[in-house]
Amino acid sequence: MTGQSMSRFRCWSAESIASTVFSDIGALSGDADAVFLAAHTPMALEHVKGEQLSDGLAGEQLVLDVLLGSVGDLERNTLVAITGSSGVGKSHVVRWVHAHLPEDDPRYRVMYVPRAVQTLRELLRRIIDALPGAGGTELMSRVDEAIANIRPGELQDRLVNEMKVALDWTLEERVSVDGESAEQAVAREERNTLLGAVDELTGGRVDGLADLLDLPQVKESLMRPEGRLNALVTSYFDQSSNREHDDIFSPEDLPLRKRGVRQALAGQPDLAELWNLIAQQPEMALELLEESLRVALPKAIGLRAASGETLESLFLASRRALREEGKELVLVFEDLAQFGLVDADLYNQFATPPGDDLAPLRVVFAVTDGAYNRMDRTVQTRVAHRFKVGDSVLADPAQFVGRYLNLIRVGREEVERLRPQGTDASGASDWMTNACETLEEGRPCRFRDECFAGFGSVTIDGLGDVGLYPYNHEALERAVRKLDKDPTPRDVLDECVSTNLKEADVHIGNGTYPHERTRDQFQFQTRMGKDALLAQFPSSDPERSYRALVIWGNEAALPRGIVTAFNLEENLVAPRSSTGLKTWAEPDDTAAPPVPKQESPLLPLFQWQNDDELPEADVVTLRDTLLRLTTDRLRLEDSLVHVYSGHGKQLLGELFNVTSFVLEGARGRQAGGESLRFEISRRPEDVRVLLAARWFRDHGHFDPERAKWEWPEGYESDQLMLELESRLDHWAGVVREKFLETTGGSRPAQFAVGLTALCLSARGVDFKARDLAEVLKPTVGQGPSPSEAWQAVDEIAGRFLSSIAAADYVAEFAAVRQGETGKAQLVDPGDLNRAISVFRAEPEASLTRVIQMSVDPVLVNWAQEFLSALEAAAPNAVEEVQRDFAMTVEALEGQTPASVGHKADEVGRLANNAGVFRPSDAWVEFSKAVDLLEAASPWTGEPPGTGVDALLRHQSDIRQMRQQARALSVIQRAMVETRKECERANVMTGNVASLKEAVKEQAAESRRLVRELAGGEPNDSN
Amino acid sequence: MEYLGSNAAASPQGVFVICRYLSGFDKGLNEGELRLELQALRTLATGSDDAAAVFTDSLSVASGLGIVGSDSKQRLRVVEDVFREGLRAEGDTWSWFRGRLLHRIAQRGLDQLEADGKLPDLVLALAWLLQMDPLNPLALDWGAGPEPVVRGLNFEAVANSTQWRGLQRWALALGLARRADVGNAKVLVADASTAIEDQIWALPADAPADRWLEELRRQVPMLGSRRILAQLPSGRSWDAVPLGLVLGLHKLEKAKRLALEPSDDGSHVVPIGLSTNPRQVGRILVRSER
Repeated sequence: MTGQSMSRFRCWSAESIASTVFSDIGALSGDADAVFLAAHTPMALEHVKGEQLSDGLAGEQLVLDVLLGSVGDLERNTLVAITGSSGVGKSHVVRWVHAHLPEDDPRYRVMYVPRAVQTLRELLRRIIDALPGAGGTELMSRVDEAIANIRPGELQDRLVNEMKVALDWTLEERVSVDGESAEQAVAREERNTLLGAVDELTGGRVDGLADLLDLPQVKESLMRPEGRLNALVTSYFDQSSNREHDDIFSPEDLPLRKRGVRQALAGQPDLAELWNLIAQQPEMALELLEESLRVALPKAIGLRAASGETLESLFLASRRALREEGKELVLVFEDLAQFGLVDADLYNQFATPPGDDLAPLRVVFAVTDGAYNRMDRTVQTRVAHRFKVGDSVLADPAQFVGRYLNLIRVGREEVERLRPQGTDASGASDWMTNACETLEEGRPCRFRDECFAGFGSVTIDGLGDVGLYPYNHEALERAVRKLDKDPTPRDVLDECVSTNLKEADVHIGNGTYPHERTRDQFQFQTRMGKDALLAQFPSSDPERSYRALVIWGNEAALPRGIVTAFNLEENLVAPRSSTGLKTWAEPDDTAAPPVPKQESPLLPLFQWQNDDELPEADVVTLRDTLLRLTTDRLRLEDSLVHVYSGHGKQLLGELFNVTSFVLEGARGRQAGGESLRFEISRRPEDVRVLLAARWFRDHGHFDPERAKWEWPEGYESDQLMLELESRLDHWAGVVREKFLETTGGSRPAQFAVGLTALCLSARGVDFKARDLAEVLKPTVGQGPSPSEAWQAVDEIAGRFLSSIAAADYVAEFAAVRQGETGKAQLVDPGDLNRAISVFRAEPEASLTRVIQMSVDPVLVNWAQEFLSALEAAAPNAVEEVQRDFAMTVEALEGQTPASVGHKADEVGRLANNAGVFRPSDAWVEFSKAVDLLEAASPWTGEPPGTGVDALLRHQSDIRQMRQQARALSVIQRAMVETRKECERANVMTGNVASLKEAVKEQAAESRRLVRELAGGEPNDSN
Repeated sequence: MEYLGSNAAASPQGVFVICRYLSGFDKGLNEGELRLELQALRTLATGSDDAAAVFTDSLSVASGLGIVGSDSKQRLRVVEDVFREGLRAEGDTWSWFRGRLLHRIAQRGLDQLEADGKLPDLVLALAWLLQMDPLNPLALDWGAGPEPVVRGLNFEAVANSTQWRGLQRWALALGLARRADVGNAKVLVADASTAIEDQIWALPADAPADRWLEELRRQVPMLGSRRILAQLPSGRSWDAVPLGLVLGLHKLEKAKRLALEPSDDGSHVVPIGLSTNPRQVGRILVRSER
């Protein structure tokens, strides 16, 4: 604290918190009623059982009333149960009742067991000390002997053995009772089955649950360190008061999924069958184990012995003594669960009515709902009143926390000094002081007005206005909301009072509050972007200012008191401009009522900006929005590329898709490999783009006046639009550039028409070098049949032509599309014609380029297959060409095919007319061969070169020459046979000799062609 | 000349393809051969029956703009020298062509206004579109936005859904608009950023804002030229700095292509802004290419 400024002022300390705040009343000693009452918030209790005779009483007062109202009734005991879930304040109610029981009332004797009593021995000591004239020394010695000198493991072992004894010998089979339901009958029979059969010889049980406890697997599970049995045993040794388990055993305490149990039971069919039953439905077995434990535990810990004192005998002795004195016994248990499995003796007392020799019992106890429902029915039916605690103390967190804030400020010493002692103590309720009014030697705190104006206050009955410092209403609500969905008062005390105030003490003192961890201590829901808020409140310490503005300001200006106390910057008091942000002087109740709108979907984005995870649905929506908005402006149609269907869509999808947008910390697949990635961080500029995109998607405009949901506060519509527009343009530019770089624009179309041209060539189809129309024809042409070696190439080329429509590629990568159908309209043929020329001129290099550039996987696969087939076929194909031409050369003997055909026709007809044509049945074949030769164009003489390129380029010529060779072969054979016939008949020899001469003349030229095809020099001689 | 009316099937890309192919022939090409080559897909399933109209109308527009001429003796079609040279260059010829085409459309439009007292429909429609507020863009669907606006103005340049689609095609291709089609955002946003960048080569590197914008309007008069604004329907005022231009300037500034600076002495100031608080811009500077 510095002078008269509230800067860094604190009205509490870590020490005062430690000595006054006990979230678990078990930690508050029994003689600390003053501290307890000083911060006790009256509870709203539901009176769920019992008659209510007093009007106008409620809550703890009513509990006290029904308890004391029965004093004097010597006919019956009175049991009052306070129930509720864990941590709701049941024990506080009991504690309050105890604190208001007049200590010196001669009508009764009070036995009070606070939660602070931790161990069994302490519990017993407490009871023994409180029971008048009951002895107890022997019982304590026995318990000491049973517990004090052994280790938990040994006690656990002893317990299991006692459980076996109980199962074998103590627990009885149940018989049916009147009114038993079918369900109860089944449960009863199942329990009896689990107990096993009675051995006629020994009287004990065999083949029951007790025998299964002998199995190592079962014993191991039951006694495992994290098991319930170990927890129970440990609780009798540890200083732990947490025994509020609803069930003793759980399925994990049995080896239901462990291997080896059935194997261990081999040869014991009855036990094996029993285990199968348990494995399917373990609930009854667990209940039976608990039943046996209840019998075993008192023995194991010395509470039961063959003779001597027991809790029950002590109680009875005490009740007899009190009855003689004319007094009653009031029992106050802050937590009945403290008695755990040794509650049987206690319950017996509850069930034992008073009489001439026994004093009545007036009992009030707290117990969880679960434990209450499991309570023996003989006890439950004797409960005269049941009160159920709700969570009403947290209906107004400011009231609840305000009392503790005040208690901490006043301090334990002062509180204990203030509380009236003796007779006055039980009835007084207005003794507690308000620190805000008395802090300065009985006068108000010097900062009271500034503090109340800045942080606010809460009006509390009996105290007046209590300041909320260091909270204000907003911060306190956020602190409570940060807890579980249904926080208990204990949770609120632990976190909102103890932890938060201790840290606040340190950091306010250092001038560093709210420190970074407050982000985790307070709910940090925001409704506007961080940058938008900070733009209104520029700060040299933006992170701390942001935390304060969100937690205390609810994203509006802070009151001056907060700024001063936390040593924040002065400009957090008022925003820089008035773009919808509230100032502290402008309460929003003056504003016009808001127009009902849909909930803003931007809130998760703001939370994401503050390091929360972005829900998957939001990630999906945002990614989809960004993808589609970016795709809409790619304008690849300007490059004549179509990406809305077909190959273009596929290629674009591989490069750019929803996974390309990588939102920081968001789940979901991310783009990898060659795909584009656009990192979107939690930085303000990225968040602005996201919220603009989300707004635009939902609205289609940037007009806040026409909002379906609230416009993001603090942002200008034109700025958001500009951010989104610029980013989309940037992304679209990157995608466009990468797509065109990867695909080469019309390159897929060029490759498709080039490959098509090569396949047509491979099939022996002849066409002009720039004949795009020919290449795009859907019908696949074919020349003369291929040679044997070329058949594989021919087959692949045929498959390509029937599978791949080059026109599709042209339509998708090299055409103008417009109109209603969106179909391709005009082609840009320049690049395509050039591609056809290049592919035909350099087939092998072009195919290699298709493979290496890897633009379109479909085309790459075809190119690879085609090139492999070409390379495999080439050597044999060349040999075949050589063979065909060698034969042709020899047969032509220097003449053209046409002249040979003409002469052959002449000779053949003469021979045929003369009846000497042979073979006589080959005339038709001969005629076809003649026709082919006469129609054949002469070989141009261009040397085709060697290898793949030459074979492809000249495939049409090669196939024609092959046909000619076959035709010549037919003619040659006919001439030889016919000559033989002529010689035999001695006719026309002169003409045949003349034909032979004519053929010889063409031999030299044909030889040259063959050599060229084979790669030899034209002038080589053979 | 009409674009959206009698040459409804014409498109900038159609004109581009015709011109680029013709640019490969120094002496020109017979129209029949040109048609055959460019309509290579027409008879195939992937092609469209509308191809003839697209070719005819686009060629008509190219001819009307003087970009494609004809040799009457040999019936050859020839591209104007400037365009032939530009289209033969290496690299992105489309963006070069787009800027020249827009400029030519504008110039020929003003010539037509001078001669006939009437602007071409496309020039008028683009000028109108650029006046639309990008914060409240027009719907892509004719009936969902543009139609009532056009009817309210009695604006004849865009008279039906076909012409509206034609206008979208031209505006998007010429860099005067952006399109969105996602969720409820199915809109056409007036945005001259691309068109401005296409003209930067012809604009001063550093000039007072009013003079710089005047030079820009000289290149693309649809961006607020008074002569063109005067032809828009009366009944509302039209901005000399249309909002589509404003968005374009801001985007180029954000992309560091332009700098919009305040005036030292308050002279030559032009208010530029989409919201109610425009910036007072005194100078406009062109920054080096990104």
